[in-house]
Amino acid sequence: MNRRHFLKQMGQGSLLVGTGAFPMEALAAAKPEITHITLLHTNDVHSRIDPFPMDGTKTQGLGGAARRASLIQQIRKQNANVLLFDAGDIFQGTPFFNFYGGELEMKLMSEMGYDAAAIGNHDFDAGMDGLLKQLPHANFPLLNINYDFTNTILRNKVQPYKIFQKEGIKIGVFGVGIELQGLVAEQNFAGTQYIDPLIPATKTATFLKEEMKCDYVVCLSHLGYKFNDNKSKICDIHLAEKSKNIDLIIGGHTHTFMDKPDIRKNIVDAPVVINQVGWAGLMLGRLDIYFEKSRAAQCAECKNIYIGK
Amino acid sequence: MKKYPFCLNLFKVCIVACLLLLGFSCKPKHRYLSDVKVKYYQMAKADSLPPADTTLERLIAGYRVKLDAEMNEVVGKTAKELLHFQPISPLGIWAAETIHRQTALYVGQKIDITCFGHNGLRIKSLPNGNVTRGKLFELMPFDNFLVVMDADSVAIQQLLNLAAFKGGWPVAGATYEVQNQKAQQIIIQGEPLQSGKIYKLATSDYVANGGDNAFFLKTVKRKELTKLMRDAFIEGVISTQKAGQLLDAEIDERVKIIKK
Repeated sequence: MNRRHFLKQMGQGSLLVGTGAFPMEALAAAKPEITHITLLHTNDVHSRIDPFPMDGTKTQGLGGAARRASLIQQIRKQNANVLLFDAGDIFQGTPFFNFYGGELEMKLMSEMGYDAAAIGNHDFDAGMDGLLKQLPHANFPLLNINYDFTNTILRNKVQPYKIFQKEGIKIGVFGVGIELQGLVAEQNFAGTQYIDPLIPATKTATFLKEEMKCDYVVCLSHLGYKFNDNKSKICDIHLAEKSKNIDLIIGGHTHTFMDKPDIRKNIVDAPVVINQVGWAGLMLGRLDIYFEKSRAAQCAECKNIYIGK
Repeated sequence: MKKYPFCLNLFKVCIVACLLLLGFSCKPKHRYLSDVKVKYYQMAKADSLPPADTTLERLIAGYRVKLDAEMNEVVGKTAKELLHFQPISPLGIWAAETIHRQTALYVGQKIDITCFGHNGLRIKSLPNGNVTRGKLFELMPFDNFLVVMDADSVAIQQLLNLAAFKGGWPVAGATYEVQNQKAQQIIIQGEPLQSGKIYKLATSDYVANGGDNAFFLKTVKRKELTKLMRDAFIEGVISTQKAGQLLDAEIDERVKIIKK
């Protein structure tokens, strides 16, 4: 907050400089100025609006949108710089979806202040018209760069990327989705052209970093963490290792619970963090990212500290 | 003379301004990322979490009224918790047998083999005790319809190969072994898979239309039922309840892993 105000003053002109040395001193005396951004994320919530019922199963009593909402609120009180994302498969899994087609899911996510979401394969389960019908209930964009919706009713309804600014730090976010053929009933995505995400992902990430001057690039991915039965299929690990300019992949699809984020090296040997938090809203992921203004290198070292479940 | 100090001042200001501008334009393109920390919040019933948000609770409550009336109805009872796992599980066996039986009932003829995707069943288990209609919606949330196909031995082999490759799919009316991600020793209705024979195969329209990579089924002759797979489960559970029985299944050797 202070920093932005300070920069604004600087930007307004050099008059202040002439009248006194105050800003120069402030600049010199500044401790390494740190901007702390908290990224919160979910994936594959699958219409889990209520906690799992108390029926003796392993997940009984866990999850629930209202509790997630209050946890998010609590975190927002500690740090105003929060970004909240979902990596797709918002829909399908409880009667709430069968009855209301995803309306409540979108309304709840809007209430919670989600900033963006990727599109999962199950988000097509009510067809493209079903998805289109729910978009007015979402006050956040769906992001995707590798589904070409030009010949469908979703044309211009999905954004490729969105840039968020927090205290002058620019976070570029884009979305990628899994191949739908063989996974989604054909009539539910007819006309949608799937494009292998690898090349467009690097292209978008490079655009965000170099042209849009983003400090950090996040990919919301519904590709899946990895596929043991099909090692050549594009997944988050492949995406991380074969791309560049992506700093973080927030994943989904494979319902993977991770003990700690997976850190891979990309084609230019820069680290890429992959994180995913299972499914059904059983977990909320949190990544605290600290940006230091006064140091020159970008992401020379990324530390990951596992704080615990 | 009088103007000179002013000009000097202006000059100074300009110099500083230029230096500043230069400084800013030379600043690194991206900010140094000094640290990334992670934390996972388990959404447990633990007291460590703040109480549920009341605004959201109210929003949900409005939607829940209509839902609860229907979904909380107990339609059956299990003998024990029926778990779902691969290659074959009590829940998988129960589900395949239920679809096998119900489909035969709906079409009025014998079904030779029933098979559908492991991931078509969307819960990890049916709980011990009461089973609500809502739980069966969770078991089968998709609006998939039943399909009966006239599948030849090649299509059956391909389907069970796919099942084997995917780690084992629920099956009824048949058994198979998994070796090197392929199906072998296929027995249907007590007889080895017979080349050239046409089998009545019950599955979901999702699989029949090539879902889960079952592309080879797309051209197979079929009869599409207007019955949702979920309704078949619900009706199967209700008829078991009416017969005074419990929902149950024991794991058996219908899907045997020889070598992955």
